[in-house]
Parts: sequence; C-alpha cells; structure tokens
Amino acid sequence: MNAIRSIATIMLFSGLLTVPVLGQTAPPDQLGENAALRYWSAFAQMQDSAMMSGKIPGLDDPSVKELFDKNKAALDTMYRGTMLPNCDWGIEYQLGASTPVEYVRKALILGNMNALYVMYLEKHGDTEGAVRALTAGLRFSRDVANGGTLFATEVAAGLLMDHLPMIPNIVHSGISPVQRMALQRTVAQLGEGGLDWQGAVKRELGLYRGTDHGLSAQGVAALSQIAPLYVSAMSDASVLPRLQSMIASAPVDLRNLMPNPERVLAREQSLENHLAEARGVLQ
Amino acid sequence: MHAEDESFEGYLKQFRPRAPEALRAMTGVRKTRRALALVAWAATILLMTALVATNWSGKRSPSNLTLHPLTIGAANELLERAPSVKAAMDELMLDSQEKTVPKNQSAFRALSEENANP
Repeated sequence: MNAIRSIATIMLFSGLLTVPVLGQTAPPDQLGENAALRYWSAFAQMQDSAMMSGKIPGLDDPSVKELFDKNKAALDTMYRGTMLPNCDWGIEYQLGASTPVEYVRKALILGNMNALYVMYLEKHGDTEGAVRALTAGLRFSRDVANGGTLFATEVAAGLLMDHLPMIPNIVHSGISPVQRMALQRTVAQLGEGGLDWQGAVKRELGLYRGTDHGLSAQGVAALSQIAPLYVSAMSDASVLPRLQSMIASAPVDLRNLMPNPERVLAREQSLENHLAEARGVLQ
Repeated sequence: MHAEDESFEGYLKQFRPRAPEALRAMTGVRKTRRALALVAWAATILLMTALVATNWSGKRSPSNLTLHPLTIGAANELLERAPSVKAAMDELMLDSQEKTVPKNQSAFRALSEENANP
C-alpha cells in the first residue's frame, strides 16, 4: 500500500514538474505562428521610411521606385505575416500609461507604404501584384488593432480606410475571377465592422483603473458605471446621449481621461461605410 | 681662543640684511599671456565637450529614427491634442523621422489627393 502511495506521489510530483516545462516548450511552435513577430521583422527591414512622411513627387518619380525596391523585402515579410492566423503584439498592459506601443507607429508607416505600393502597382499595370498587396494590406491593418487599445484601433481603422477605397479602382481596371474572389474573401473576413471596437474600449477604460492614472475614488466609481455603457455604445449608437451626459457629470479627473465617444463612434461608422462600399463593388 | 671668538663676533656684527626687492608689478606682456592661456583652456574644454556630446547623441540615434518611444499615455495625449485623428496620424509619422517636412503632408495623403484630382 505504501509502495503504491509512494509511486502515486512520485507520479504526481513529476507531473507537476513537467507542467511548467511543457508550458515553456509548447509555445515556441505557436510563437512561430505569431504574425506580430513577422511584422516586427518587416519593421526592421524598412528603409528610408522618412520619405513616407514627406510630400513625394509622384508615382512615376524614380525616387518612388527606389523606395519600393529598397522596401520590397519588408513588404514581402509583412505579406508572409498576414498568412498566419494569430497576431499577438504582447502588449504589457501592467505598465499602464507607460505601456510601449511603438509597433503602432511602425505599423502606420509600413501600412501607408503598402497602400502607396498598391497605387504604384496598379498604375504600372501590375494588377496581380496590386491585388496581392491590397489583400495583404487589409489583413495587416486588421492585425494592427489586435489586442490593442483605442489608439491602435484608430490607427488600424485609418489604414483600412486608406486601403479600401482602392478596391473600386482595381475592380474597374479589370481583374480576374480569382483575384476578385481573393478580394471578396479578405473583405468578408473583416466582418461587418472590420475591427473589435468593443474590446478596444474595454482595454482602454480598463487602463484608467491603474494607479498611474491617479483617479480619485469618485472617478473610479463613475468609471465603473460609464465603462459598460461606453462598450455598449460601440454596438448601439442610441445610448450615446446618455453616455455623453454621464461623462459630462463625471468627476473632472475622469472626464479629462475619457476619449470622446462621439469621435470614436464616428470613426467606427466611417469604417463600416467604407467596408459596405467595398463589399458592394465586389458583389 | 677668546680673542678669536671676539674677532668672529665682530665679523658677525658686520652683517647687514639686504633690503627686500619691491614686488614685481604684472607687466602688460604677462597679462596678455595669462589671458591667452585661459582662452586656450576654455576653447579646449568647449571642444572636448562638443566632441563628447556629438559622439553620444550619434550613438543614441544613428538613423534619426524613434525620437520618442511611443507609449499608450503619449499616444492618448496625441489623440487628445490633435484636431483630428488624421492629423494625429500624420504627427505620429512625422515624429518618427527628422522633422524637416511640414505637418499634414504625408506622402500617402498627398498622392491620394493627387489621384482623386488628376
């Protein structure tokens, strides 16, 4: 009996010891499937991205061709990343307002560069390349918002709205059924709203509870009432007036932190409109 | 022996200390030399400081990228301050580069406008 007990204890302890080991060994397989890692590689490969923040002469200018030649590797890496099903940016929310989100800035630059590249390819008659860059750009833009706060979602929405209006141009210039299907599938995968605005609002408002925001007890109490209403406003605009009046009567420290719900809703609506238009063109 | 002592004593009494020379007044030439030396030292120190500062900043930002690491707090502040989300995005892109181009002039935006109005 004692022997059985000892064996059972040994097995239990070995099991307990192996669990963390398994926990450490399992993720590497999945980590390789994380699109965010590819995107970081792409950011590292970007060259002369300063050009993206200036006025460039035109799509036929040799400097534009040079920019894309230099950044072909970065764009290709990004395209490969968009083929992966999972994108985890590993955001350290425990750092509160100091949480680094440099990836958002880099994603904005790379995403803008890609949108420009779609235009360039289309203008130079490379429809196949333009469709490939466009579908990848749409998936990349969606991934930028993954697990992020409102800021990352706003940037992702901006990138989507930079890419989506190019669909009608490409469709009208003549695309093959396969290319049309690729675009249809990508737009369909974005869903009705394109991005998870409710999740972004939850994460955003969750941050304000942190000590670094220094909210008063009254502010925290008001936040716990406002947060659910803010989240539901993302799917039901009719609650906006009530939400706005609650924010207006909230303690000043909370009021100063609160993102303007009207602006957020307008952005969400604008993205929905862009998506609806793209779907209409592709039907 | 006694006489010798007395004569030696007499000899010692003849000793008269010489009057000390007057302190040398600083001449114009010395003043100039000292001033030049001071200027040379100051210039050397300034040069060294400039060299150290240049090297240090060069090591920190070799490609002038990432002037300010972006945090959620800074991003929200930017969104709050900017007149529109688009303006915030433009500023965000400009902030990662040398600030030599006017604001609200991202390449993508400029070309979008160009394409919209051919």
